[in-house]
Amino acid sequence: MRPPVPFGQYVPIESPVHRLESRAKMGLIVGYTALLFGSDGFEGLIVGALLAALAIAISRVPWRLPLRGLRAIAFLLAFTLLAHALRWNPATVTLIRIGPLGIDPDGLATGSFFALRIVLLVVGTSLLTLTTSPVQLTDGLERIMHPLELLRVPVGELAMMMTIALRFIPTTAEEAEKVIVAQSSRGARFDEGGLFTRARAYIPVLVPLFVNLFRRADELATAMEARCYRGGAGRTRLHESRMRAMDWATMLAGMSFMFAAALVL
Amino acid sequence: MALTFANVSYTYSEGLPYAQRALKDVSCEVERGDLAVILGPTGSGKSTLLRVAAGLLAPEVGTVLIDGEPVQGGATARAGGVGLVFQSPETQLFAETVLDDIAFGPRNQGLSEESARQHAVQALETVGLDPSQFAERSPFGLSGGEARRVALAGVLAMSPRYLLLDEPTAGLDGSGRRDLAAALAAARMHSGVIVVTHDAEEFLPHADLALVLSAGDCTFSGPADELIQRPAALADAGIRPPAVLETMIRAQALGASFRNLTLDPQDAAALLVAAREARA
Repeated sequence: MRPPVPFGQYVPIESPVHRLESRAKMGLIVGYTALLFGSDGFEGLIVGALLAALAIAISRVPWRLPLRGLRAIAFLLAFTLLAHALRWNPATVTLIRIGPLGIDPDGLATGSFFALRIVLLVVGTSLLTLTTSPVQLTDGLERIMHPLELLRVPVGELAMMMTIALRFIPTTAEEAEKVIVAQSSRGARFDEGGLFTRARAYIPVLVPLFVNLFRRADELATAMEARCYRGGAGRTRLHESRMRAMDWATMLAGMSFMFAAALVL
Repeated sequence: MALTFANVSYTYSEGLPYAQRALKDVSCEVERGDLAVILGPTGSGKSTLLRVAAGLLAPEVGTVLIDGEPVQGGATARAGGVGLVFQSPETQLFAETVLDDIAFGPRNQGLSEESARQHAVQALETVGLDPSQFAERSPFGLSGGEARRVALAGVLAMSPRYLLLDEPTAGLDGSGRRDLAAALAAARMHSGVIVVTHDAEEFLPHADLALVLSAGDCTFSGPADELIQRPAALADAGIRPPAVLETMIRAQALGASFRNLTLDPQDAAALLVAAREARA
């Protein structure tokens, strides 16, 4: 029995958000991104936050899963906030002043605005991957990119590459976790010492991880060739996904509302 | 002096929609020098039990004690408490030479370079690989069986009091299995050995203790001899009994009568002949 690896990954449960066609969800994400980047004030972000909260509640995905992605960007958020808030020898009144450094209230507000925008973007887009399986996601992307085939863009191959890349994210995470645990049980320490020591401590993890990944990639390529894979031309799907009336209605209504909000707010 | 599991329970992703109960109220005690075999089908919680024993997972309920001390992950490994050999451990080899890879653990325990290399040479000998032939070879150029024994040596070099192995013979051919069994017999001189497997054939005949897991529940815990006399406990968990035992069970179904069941082929043959003569 293996522990599930849930970071940003598909959560296979039943909900209206899960049932929505992947292209409809991508359309909604485009509208959501437009809302976040089109609005100039906090009002737009508050609307975005309410929409994200509503979508999470409907999706029945545990709240902590979309929020978990924020740990990875904690440094970026802190940098965004401080880059706007900190002032060197500020002439105006500051909230806090330590030596030549001061925190400017206007800068703090601007930094909070940009940091919140990033937070909402990460939470919203992670909901897409949490409620859409990798196969549905790449199927949707392939269909959206389909017109590019007229320009001889190898859409099928690109979709296959994306499918495999997405499919191997959990495998790689599992493999990395397995090697880390195995080397830990041989006494390896990954959380001690300075930056250089910590980087060196990961050599016993990275070497077997890459050796195993290259071996796996080679085996996969051979297995695909053995099953007559010759690129995307002429390939059909076992399960054809179609946009239903409900998918169109949800996407168009959602996108219209968010684009309008982006213009107004 | 024992590795003790007391009412251990564990659930993966507790509180989430896809939570999985892996262990429920498992208790047993393995002494130094014992060979304990944990049997169960895929998904029964065997590997989870090993991870809990090694301190890599904290039990949700219950305790794990190593010689009376609570287990504490990497710190317990560094102190020589437990050594964990994962499934396909050869995929975790990384150093340029076999000796360097085996010495990785002892170095992490704080041994000097010379002492670490001595431990590594001894461990190579324990697993039946000649140090003069293997020490300077690349771990990436070994056969499957050799690489598996090198990985085992990497853990043995840390002189663990309890050695935990997850499906150690998976993917090995006949000679690889025999070599590994011999290496484990040697390791048992110094350590308690716990082997997790779904294959009763390999280790049950040599085991002192047996534990049968089924969907996280412990359906049997006791001396291995007792399990041999109760083959239904294996069948109920979906485990195929060893071939000798299965032959005796089938003979019983055909009317033969035995006072005891055995895994020893010689004894089983004698019992079968005696049963046939008694019927005649």
